[in-house]
Amino acid sequence: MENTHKSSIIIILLSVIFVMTIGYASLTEAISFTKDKTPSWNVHIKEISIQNQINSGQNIIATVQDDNLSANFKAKLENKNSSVTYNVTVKNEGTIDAKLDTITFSNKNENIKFEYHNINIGDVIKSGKQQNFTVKIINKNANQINNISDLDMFLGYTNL
Amino acid sequence: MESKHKNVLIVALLAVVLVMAVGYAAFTQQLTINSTATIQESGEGGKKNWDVKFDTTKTNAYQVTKGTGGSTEPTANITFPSDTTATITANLNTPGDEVVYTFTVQNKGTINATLSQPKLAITNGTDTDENPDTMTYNNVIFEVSQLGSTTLNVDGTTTFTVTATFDPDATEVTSANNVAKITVTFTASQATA
Repeated sequence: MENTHKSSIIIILLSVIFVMTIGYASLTEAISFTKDKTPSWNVHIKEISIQNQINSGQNIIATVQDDNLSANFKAKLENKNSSVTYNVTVKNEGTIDAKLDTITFSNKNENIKFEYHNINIGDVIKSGKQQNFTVKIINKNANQINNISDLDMFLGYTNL
Repeated sequence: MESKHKNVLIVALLAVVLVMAVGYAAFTQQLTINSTATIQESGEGGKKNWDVKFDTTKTNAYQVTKGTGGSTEPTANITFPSDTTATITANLNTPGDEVVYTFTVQNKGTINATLSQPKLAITNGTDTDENPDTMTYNNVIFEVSQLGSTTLNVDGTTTFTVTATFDPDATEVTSANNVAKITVTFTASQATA
């Protein structure tokens, strides 16, 4: 083979080796990954929304308190049997499964009564999941002007 | 360079390319990593990671004081229906009667916690007190103190008290109205770093 051709072949082979070396170097970079396995606890009331308002029952405000596990419900319930039903969403954004230890209510208005559904002591919210339940506030007495509920709710969760 | 030397060089370079190609092929095979990560439900020694609760052994942690002129000793009771709630009963008879309940909250888990102000709740009645810091049920006024500490690190404890006093403005003083039973509860969250 002529010298010129051999020189060209040598140059080509050197180029190929150079390119492969660069590619080879990039592939041999250390592959590393880390996974955070630190357990975390984060169960909280994510949202409160109105499910329905019956017989002129009217939501005033439903507030999640600073601890994110307590709430207050204020609704205007002037007609007898008027009601407001709230949908409460509790979410577990921690890594530890949580079990409902307590659900407690404190009522400051003797003219109203309340019910809650779809939640029971012992209910489990697994990590990443949520639970929805309802709280219904009802005027149990005769028609009353400016009858406003003042109902507190407290939730307590423990490690499953 | 002599032609002979170039031949040798070409052969050597071809050999290098061949070796690198084989190695290159091996590295470019798909790398599959199968891994299962499990978040341990318990820490060292089987401890729960999250375990903030009342010290439920302290069912006698209350101090009773009889009011001046009272003929009947006030009585009290503490029970713990769950880790995060307590039920207290106060039976007071005359102005000046008082019971001070002391509650201990402990962190037996592996995660530091922040406590919120404890709450009082009447589960079978209505709180007739307009003062947000107190709770009145029948002829008994309850008031909860501030926490000794809102930060509760692992293996730490903190305390708070609930004071029950006879309502000086009580109008119907009967044995039924002199008894009040309420719930004491607290909430806790993971402490921020």
